[in-house]
Amino acid sequence: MNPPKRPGRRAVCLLVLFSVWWVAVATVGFSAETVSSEPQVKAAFLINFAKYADWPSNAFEKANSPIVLGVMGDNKVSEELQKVIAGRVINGREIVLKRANSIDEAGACHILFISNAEQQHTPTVLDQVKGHVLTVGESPEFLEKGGVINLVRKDQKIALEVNLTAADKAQIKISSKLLSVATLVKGKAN
Amino acid sequence: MKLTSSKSKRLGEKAKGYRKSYKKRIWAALTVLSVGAVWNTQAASTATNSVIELSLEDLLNVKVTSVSKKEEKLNDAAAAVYVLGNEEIHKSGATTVAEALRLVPGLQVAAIDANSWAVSSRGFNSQFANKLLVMIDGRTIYSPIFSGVYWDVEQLLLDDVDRIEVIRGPGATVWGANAVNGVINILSKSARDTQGSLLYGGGGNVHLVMGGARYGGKIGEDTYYRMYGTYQLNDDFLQSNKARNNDSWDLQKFGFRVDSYTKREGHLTWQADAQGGKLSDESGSTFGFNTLGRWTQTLSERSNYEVQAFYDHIYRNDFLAEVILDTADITFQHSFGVGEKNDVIWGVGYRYTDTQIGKINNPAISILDHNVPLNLASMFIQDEYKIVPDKLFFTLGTKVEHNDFTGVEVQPSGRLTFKPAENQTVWGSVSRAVRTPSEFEGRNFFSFITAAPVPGPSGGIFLPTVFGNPNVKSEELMAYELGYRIQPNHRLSIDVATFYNDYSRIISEPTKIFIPGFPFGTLAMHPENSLTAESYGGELAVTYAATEDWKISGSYSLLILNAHGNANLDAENFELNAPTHSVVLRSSYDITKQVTVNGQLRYVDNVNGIQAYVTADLGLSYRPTPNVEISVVGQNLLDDRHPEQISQLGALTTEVPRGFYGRITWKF
Repeated sequence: MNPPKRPGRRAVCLLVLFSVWWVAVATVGFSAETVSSEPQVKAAFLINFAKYADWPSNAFEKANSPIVLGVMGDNKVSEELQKVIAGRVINGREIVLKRANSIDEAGACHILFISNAEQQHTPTVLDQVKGHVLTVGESPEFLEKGGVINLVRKDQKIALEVNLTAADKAQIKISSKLLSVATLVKGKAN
Repeated sequence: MKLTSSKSKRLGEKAKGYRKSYKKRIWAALTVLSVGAVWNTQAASTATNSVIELSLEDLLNVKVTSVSKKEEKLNDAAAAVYVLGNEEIHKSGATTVAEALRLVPGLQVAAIDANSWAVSSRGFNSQFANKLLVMIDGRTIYSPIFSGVYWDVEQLLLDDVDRIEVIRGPGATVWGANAVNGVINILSKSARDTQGSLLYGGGGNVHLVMGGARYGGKIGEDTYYRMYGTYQLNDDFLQSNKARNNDSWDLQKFGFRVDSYTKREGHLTWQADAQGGKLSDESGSTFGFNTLGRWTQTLSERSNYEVQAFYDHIYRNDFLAEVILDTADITFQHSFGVGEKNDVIWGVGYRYTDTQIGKINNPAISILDHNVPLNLASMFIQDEYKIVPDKLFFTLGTKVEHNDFTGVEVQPSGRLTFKPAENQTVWGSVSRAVRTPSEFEGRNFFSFITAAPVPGPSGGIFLPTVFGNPNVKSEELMAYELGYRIQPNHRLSIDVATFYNDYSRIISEPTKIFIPGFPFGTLAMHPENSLTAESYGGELAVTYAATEDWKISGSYSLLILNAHGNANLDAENFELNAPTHSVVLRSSYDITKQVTVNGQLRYVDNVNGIQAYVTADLGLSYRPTPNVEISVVGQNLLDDRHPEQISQLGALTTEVPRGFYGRITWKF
């Protein structure tokens, strides 16, 4: 005869402890929230850009005027921004979120994120937006069309590409810290 | 091919000595884990919105997941599915595919000796676990000669494996025969995602030497390639009396993969691998190569087609015989929408397998036919009907196959999915699946002496010998499954699957005929469809990202199997080969940006002749720069060595030793 099969006390103890552990873990789990999805990481980059870009003083009405962050297209990135942007102050300026639905609205932003959903309109927007707008995109030819910063997916991470000519044209100084982690790409000056 | 009952009794007695020390270790380990849970309660409440707070440099290192259509579908799947991702495999410290599979909830993975494993899902585990279909990039590695998998030739470069998808339960409607108790699909990354160089090297006391290299580059604008090579040398396992088992083995594998994407959503893949190695000190060598091409064309959001062909050649000279196996396979599949509510997928396929037996290395075997061709033609069709869009789906499908032994096999399934909310899925299914007899069972080309000579009823000595039986039919399964999945939030997911499996026509050798002879008579045994069985149980899997830095997961599997029939010993063996309870707990914690600690604890209940055991693996990895990783891994740490599975070939049971290895990985 083979040895009898019985779960035994050991297994029962193990199961009880296992369940207790998971109940503890699950209770905590139900109250937690975030995860690093692609829109969330992109939102985090956009907020970071406000820290590492310098606008000419005439880009703001007053010394404490807010930095306007506009989103064209993608709702997911703006949803992520919405969750975290309230009350955030960067370099003494509040940062506010706006939807940019027209060229005029786009031109009133300091940072403008143009999502892939707006790919068709990207060239038009980039051509027509005047003023000190740091344009950020996520499509392969964004810099060639005159955008300033491109968020590109490399393997499973997001990498940065910067078009310095376009930044100069918009009179925006990008800090060396940002440039040191980005790839410089020659693109069309806006 | 069975172990005699007296041998398993001896092993059972020996294993009893392990019991006491295990008990202490379980308690110690669980105390640590419980303390962890309490600590976790405090840690989690402080971690919100942490991605937003990251610096620029850190953001560049955050991995992002964009759930693709296919992956989304997997989460909604009306089946017990688990996906083991690249990072999980990497963190586990696994050096072989079989080791990585130990992490999957509900899979039974047991090392028989240094180079063979028993891998199964929901029972019937053995070296010749014949109810599980295993594929690499769509190429089946299930061997028709003995209905199982040669795990030792699959020494993949694990860094280039994208994921391992595991379906527990029948997947026969889409995948076909032998996907009875489960399907394992190992998928490598596209060459587009493995650009650049990777080098790794290391070694330890069990895995003596390991090394590999990969280079990925671009041929044209949208065409990518990679080339790789791996080598691993593994030491002998020990027998229970500490004697070396002489089963050390090595394997080298080389290959390439090319992926080309067209502007119009077409994707061409061409890949090839070749491998060679020494099977063990005394019993021979293996060599093989394969090549596969696949063309996928997306026609619209709901429509695409795929054409795939592969050729696989395996030469294996082991202690039984010299076997050459050639497989050629071509498949076509097409999916499209019909109206708003129906999505149809259908396909056809043809496979030709040629088995040639060369010289015989074991006097127990005699060959009646050296060349065994096998034709397999198949088609499947499946419709997903949206009863209520986004809420309630019904999927009905069937596979129809024709093979040379058993003729036509029909394998239908019906599945219902209900999504009460976006983050919850309730599913149920009823399916039929078959396991076609192995060539050994179903054709009379081969006989095998399975045990020591026995005295006959009226004197004389007889050798128990198994012969093939061309009249044997496929084993049959009716499976009933019910499952529930919930993601209360992005950090936590819970997956419960339950099943009731009803097996009939299970093959065993109940009838014994004494044929007199000199000096020995033959005790002839023929495979027959003589057993039935039912099994039930379930699996619970929970994964939880406690904080950005700490991820834990755990799974529990319950399996109860009852087999009935004339051949009592076989029925009993089937019952005994199912561990009633098994548990896997895992934790991965990034102490700093550079240092990660990974641990896992596994409990496996008694199986045939082997006492229950608990064991743990622990790994520490250090990344001085983002491109370099130095890791130290301890495997099977809780004892000097323990047995996991008895050999079906009557060999002495060997034990899995505690192992350590170090490894350096460099990407550039």
